[in-house]
Amino acid sequence: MNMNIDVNCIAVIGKQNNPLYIKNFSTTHPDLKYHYIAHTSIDVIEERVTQIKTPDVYLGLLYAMEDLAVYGYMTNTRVKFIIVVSVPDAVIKDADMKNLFRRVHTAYIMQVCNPFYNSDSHKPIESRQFSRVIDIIGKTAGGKVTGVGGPDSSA
Amino acid sequence: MEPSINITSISYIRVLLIPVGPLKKTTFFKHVKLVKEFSELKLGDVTPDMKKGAGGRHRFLSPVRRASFESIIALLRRFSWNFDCLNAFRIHILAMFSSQVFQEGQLHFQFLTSYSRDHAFLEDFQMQRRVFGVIGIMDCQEWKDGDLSQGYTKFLGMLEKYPTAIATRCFAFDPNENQPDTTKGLIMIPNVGNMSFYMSTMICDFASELLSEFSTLVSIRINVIVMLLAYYKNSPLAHRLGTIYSHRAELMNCRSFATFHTSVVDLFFTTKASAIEQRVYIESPNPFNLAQSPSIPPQGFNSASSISIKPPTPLSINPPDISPKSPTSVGIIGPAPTASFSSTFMKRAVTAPNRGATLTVTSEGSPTPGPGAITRSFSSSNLSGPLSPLPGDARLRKRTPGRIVKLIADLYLLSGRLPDAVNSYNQAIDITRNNSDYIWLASAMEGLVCSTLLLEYLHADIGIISRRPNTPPDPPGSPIKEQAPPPNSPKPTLVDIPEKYFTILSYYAKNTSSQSTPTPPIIYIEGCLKVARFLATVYRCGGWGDKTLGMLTQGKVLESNNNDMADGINVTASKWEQSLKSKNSGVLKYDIAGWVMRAWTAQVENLSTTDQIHVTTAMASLLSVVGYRRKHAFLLRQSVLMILPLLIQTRTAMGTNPVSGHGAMGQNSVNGGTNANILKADMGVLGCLREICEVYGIRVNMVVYVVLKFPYAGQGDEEEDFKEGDDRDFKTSFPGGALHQSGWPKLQIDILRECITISEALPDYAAQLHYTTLLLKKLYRYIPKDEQFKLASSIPRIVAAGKKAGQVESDVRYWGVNVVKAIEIVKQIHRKVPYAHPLGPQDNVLSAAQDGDPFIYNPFSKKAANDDKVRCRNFTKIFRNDTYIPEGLLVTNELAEFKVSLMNPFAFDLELQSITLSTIGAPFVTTPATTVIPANGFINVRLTGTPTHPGIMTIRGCNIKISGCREEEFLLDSNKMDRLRGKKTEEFKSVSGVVKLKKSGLGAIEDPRKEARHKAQKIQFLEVEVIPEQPLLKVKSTSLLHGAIMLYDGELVHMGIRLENIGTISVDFITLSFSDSTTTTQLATNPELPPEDVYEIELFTKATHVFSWEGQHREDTQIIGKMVDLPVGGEWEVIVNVYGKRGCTGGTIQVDYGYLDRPIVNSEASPGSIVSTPKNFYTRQLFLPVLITVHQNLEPLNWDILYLRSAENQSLDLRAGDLVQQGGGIDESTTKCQHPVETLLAMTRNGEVKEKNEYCLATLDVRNVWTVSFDVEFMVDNNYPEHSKGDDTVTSVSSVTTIQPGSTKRIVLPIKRLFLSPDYTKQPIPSLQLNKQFVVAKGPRYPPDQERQRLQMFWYREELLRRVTARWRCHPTNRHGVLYLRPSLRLTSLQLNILKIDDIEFEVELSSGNATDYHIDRMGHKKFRCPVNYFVEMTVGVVNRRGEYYQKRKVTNDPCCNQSAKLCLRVQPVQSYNDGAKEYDLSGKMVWQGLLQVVLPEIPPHGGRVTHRLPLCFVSRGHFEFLYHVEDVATRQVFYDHEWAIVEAVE
Repeated sequence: MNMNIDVNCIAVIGKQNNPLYIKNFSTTHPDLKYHYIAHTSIDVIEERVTQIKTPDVYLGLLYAMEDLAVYGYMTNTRVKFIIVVSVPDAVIKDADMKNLFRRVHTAYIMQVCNPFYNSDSHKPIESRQFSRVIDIIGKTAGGKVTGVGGPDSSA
Repeated sequence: MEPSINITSISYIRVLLIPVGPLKKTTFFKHVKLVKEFSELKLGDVTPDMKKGAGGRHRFLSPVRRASFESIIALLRRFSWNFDCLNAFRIHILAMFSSQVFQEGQLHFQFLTSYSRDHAFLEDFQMQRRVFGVIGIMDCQEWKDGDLSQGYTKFLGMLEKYPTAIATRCFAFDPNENQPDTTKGLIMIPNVGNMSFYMSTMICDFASELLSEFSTLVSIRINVIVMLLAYYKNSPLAHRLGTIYSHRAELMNCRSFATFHTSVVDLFFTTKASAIEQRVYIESPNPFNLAQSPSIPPQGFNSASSISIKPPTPLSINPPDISPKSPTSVGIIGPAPTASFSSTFMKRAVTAPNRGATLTVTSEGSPTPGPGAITRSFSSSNLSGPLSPLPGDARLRKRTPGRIVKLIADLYLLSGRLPDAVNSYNQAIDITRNNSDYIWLASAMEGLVCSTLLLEYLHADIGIISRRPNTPPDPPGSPIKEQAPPPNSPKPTLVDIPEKYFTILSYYAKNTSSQSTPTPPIIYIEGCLKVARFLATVYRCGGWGDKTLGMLTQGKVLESNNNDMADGINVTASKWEQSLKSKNSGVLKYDIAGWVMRAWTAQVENLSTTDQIHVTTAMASLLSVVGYRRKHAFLLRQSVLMILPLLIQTRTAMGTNPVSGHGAMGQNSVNGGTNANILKADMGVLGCLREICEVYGIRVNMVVYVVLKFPYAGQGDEEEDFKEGDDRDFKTSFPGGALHQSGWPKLQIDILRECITISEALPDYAAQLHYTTLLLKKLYRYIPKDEQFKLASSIPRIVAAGKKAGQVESDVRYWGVNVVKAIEIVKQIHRKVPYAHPLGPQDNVLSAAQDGDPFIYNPFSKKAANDDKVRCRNFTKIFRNDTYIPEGLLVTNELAEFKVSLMNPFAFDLELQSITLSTIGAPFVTTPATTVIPANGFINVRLTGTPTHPGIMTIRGCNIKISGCREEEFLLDSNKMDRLRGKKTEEFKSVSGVVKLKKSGLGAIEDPRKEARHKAQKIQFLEVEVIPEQPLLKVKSTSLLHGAIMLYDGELVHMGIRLENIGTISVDFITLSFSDSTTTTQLATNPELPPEDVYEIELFTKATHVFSWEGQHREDTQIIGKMVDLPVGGEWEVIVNVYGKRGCTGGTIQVDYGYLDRPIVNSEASPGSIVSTPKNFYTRQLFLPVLITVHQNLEPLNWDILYLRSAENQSLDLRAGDLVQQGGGIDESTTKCQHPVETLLAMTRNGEVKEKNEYCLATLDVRNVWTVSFDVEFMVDNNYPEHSKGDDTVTSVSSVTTIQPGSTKRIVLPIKRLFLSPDYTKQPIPSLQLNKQFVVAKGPRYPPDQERQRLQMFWYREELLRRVTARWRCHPTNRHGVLYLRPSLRLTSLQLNILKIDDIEFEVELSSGNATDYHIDRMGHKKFRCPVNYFVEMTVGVVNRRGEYYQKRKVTNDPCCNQSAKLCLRVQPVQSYNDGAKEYDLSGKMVWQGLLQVVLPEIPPHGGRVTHRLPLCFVSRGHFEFLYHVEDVATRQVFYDHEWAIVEAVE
């Protein structure tokens, strides 16, 4: 992974805008902040989805707040993925983001394939497998493949 | 910064309305409202200045002069210069802002009631921030006694706080007639006539003054600048300016420069002439670097104010005083009230007088044309201005002209002279851009945008500004180069403005990054918000248009609401109607949000707290307008968090200084500092919290939890949810708790925690309590245990504090989830259960369905059958059929028990101090109970109570007092209970199952909630019927020992049951019913069994009852029961027969009893009265189990039927004697016959000897298998009238035999032979089982004749059993019973032939014919003696008795009655030897004439007879027997005569 994306948070939001999974990768912000961000981004997603007839799964940059940029992605089943990244100096390429989202999507699909997971229940995902995959996605996206787990450099 | 930041807000003139003196708040705001009506004023309406004409001080410049000006200054070319000449110096000063020039223009007043000086540093950057006018509002009613002038003085005193105000008024409303209108400057506004007209006049006047003062203001400002110029020298710009304005200076030569009160033009002349070298210095606003960089505008102004120490001159209608005589008197100047001016200010203040002096000097300097002179003239002034030179001052100096122009443009804009404003802005833009003065450039551009917009609104034809088709604006992606002025812009305004602003903002931002004095973030943020608001307005108005423009100019987003809060709350209602419109607006919500968020992105945190609050609230309201509710909530939350410390500060400050609340806090502005205001402010915050909670999916229902005193009621729709259709007040029913469990728990917890903190800080105990409980109730699942503890324990504390503060009135309502999960009636003990018996109409007819329908379970007739049943319900008739145990039945005055399931979902124990049932309807006395529900626990509690009156009782739930809370009614929906039990009704599924929401997201919160509410059913409560008092009986004693009884087979004993009435009312009806082991466990009838056997089995199981009610003989009375009168405490004995049925091991006697009460008595007599009688009557039951042992004592065996031949008397006796001896031979010694067989047999001999014997003999052995002897009595009922000959004298016989233990006795019984009619024997074998399902017989099928035979056999056997009965008696014990013969009695076909009387009868006669020499002895029936060797004639007569039976009955049309017989007779003589051998070959022993086999002629029925003669002659002696039979030629049926003829041939 040589894309230079500093993922701060990956969130999965359910069909009815219920939080399914939120993982905070940053060390500077509390989890709750990302909860708020994810929640707030639903506004934008809703608008995007209603306004565009055939929306792409990738919704692009939803909004920027402070030093954070929020990207969205919505599956056909209206499950939303949200990735919050620190605004870097370099431009983030959509392709990179798409790639990232696709990986999250794959992880989610794996999760849904689990026969013991009830996708209609509003319960958050508690699968260890899933969180491991998300962890990997989040940590490797910024090029921190080494796994040192160094704290994020905030913008 | 004001709550509504609008793109046009820079065109607003701020006017402060202040209350003067004692004034009621409502009165104040009433007047404020009145004044606010005039916020827009057409320039044409404004009183022209000249009309005042007081001192002739307003004069217009001559056109010549005007033209000359225009020719002079390119910069100000288009201005129309109307000089307002000051009297003192006789200088014609341009009335720059005269209303008469651009009549279409409008003045926009922004009437404020509060004003903060936080942004005073911006006031000289953006003129519109300044408060230009102050209007005092007085209420004369408050000054009845006092002198109004005092009030006016007070007003004047207040004015000092507002130094920037250039026009002031003081309105005194509602003057009394006697109050003199003498106070100078005070304007009385009487409350009569057309007030608004009067007011408008006043306002116009006011406007006029304002406008004129603008000119003054400009001059002052410019003077200040000039003054500052004095400090700096050698600026190239100044030189340039000087050259620009040089020729102008010549014109102005004549003017005296000794004054500062010059017009702008004067200024430039001054600048040029006397201060060429000086630096023009207008600082950009910079709130943060006040100490470092002297921001001149604010201080400059204030310092100027300090020049004139005298208080501001009251500017009234009559303004002679205002015309300043001296430089010092000009400014409307007062000391700045705010302390925010730091030491710099102080320094300024100190230096100000010096400056004043300097300025004076400056002005006196002659404006010498030429750059050189300037240097000289001002050199001296430098001495007195010891201000330290500033960095970058050169640049500043360079920039100042542009800034001046910009400010002037601002003023043009304010005064509504839009074309002028456009022009000056364009100029300013040019200049500032050249100087890279980005911040001013941007600001000027803003002004330009605003003025073009306003022009467009006015449809001013100043260019090509016109409405164009709307196209969605490109997202402002790339910074656009400076546009040509709007008139030349090809873009529609909608596109243009955001683009412009994008540029503007980039300029602002550029300034921020590149310069030492960064742009105040507030300006940037406001810029963002302005665009956002602009777009939002367009969005909401559905596109570009006049309306939109109007809204924009008025600064409104929506028609109705200006308020941020209102935006948020009302949006939902009209949201969906709006959304369509909004979609077509061509503005993307996303863009709006983008602009808003851009504001957020900027350094909001660098702002002052108040500003932050303003910004966030403004952002929030904008987001709410576009429907970004989550963001809205997020920002609202931010702002609330920011407001909080301020509120607390205020609160604490209030303790000492009650007026300190005079700070502007947006919509929460606290004006008076009274408690009410605080409350209002809190409400604002709390309202925000509500709003936030709503968005985060927390449904806030204030009403439910907190008792009163909550200043705001919940929104109506939410309340309704809790009303559950009852007219009572709200009740805790907790519907939808799980239903609408939506949202984001983590966020919800966080929000609620914040809510708690905030309300605690306020402190609003009610709200705190509410949020605490809400948190606990809604999210207990997500809250750790210790926090739950903490929250729960904080509740009483809050309540206590709230009580002390008077906010919470009484105890808390319980807040949590409904603890009552289920209520069930505990079943009564068996003997107390009341059984219902429906009382129907008098109709006694059994339903036809019961016997006509071959199907028991006929689905089509079922309903009808039920109806019939209903009809049959007369308590005297069908009793048992309809009995049922109704569910949920309580009996009056008897203790009832309820099982209540309670659940506690929390992590702490819930202590229920009392729990009682809550019922309505029939009165019910409940007994309270106490219990503790353990944490996360589930318990069952038994609650008791006594209903006191019959009726329907509804159990609503439980009244529970949880410790620390008020007693509360917990309702219980029985639908839900059903679900708990696993019952799923359709409707229930639809109601409470998963509610399908069509809308997703937040839309789902509001919309379907409404739909669902309409759909939602009423809560269904558990309904219980309370029936009248019921009696109670008990079995006091029985005659049995230990409830057990031993019986012999067939024995019948009586059993006594003694009942006692232990109830409270008497019993008047009793019925018994029984069940025993043989009926309860029935033998399965094999369908393949032949019907005879089935009948036998059924007879045993069904028709033989073990129990029967003594005294109730008829079958139906057994069922119905009996009316008795058993008073309270009385006893009554019932006798029950117990029959020893083989195989029975036990049984139950069931006693149903009740008090049938009065109305039923009449039911038969008057059917109509039934209508009013109760539907059911009730009985109770007593059960008495009886253990039965049945022993077999006697066993009948070896049944046989013998043919009894009629004989001579003697021989008969002998034979009979033989028989008896034979019988006695079995047990000779003990034979003891009450009726010896002889006598029985004697009976058979009645009638004539020759007659045929009617009897046959039945024998059977009876064995005693028991240990004591039994007497057995057989009875034969020979009385059979139909078939008797009519002369029977003996009808029945009986014989008694004693059978010793272990022995067997043969019983011989004479039985009359039977005849059963063919019809009778053709009947099918009956079945005892009613309602037997019809099944195609599976048993073996027989040919018809065999079938006939079988049926005959069956029916003859039945007849025989009917006739022959046997009883036994045991002498030692005196027990007696019936000997059950049935199993042993089987008929064979042979026996049947003996038993039955045939249709064909033989008559045999032997006659001597005509001979007389011998005679034939007739020895008996068909027994003859005749001599040998004589011819005798034997006559064989055959009688056909068929149809006789019918003939007797006079039935003739039956086919059976006309059966003639065609028979073939065969006769066979045999010789019988004594040893029993028979000789068939009779040749030589006898001869006969004719044939032994003949066909007889047809014999008619009804006793028709045919005789056949057979002459014969016995040749040898001997004993001859004649055997004969006939055979039906048609049916081949052979009829024998058992009693054949015997002839004894003798010598």
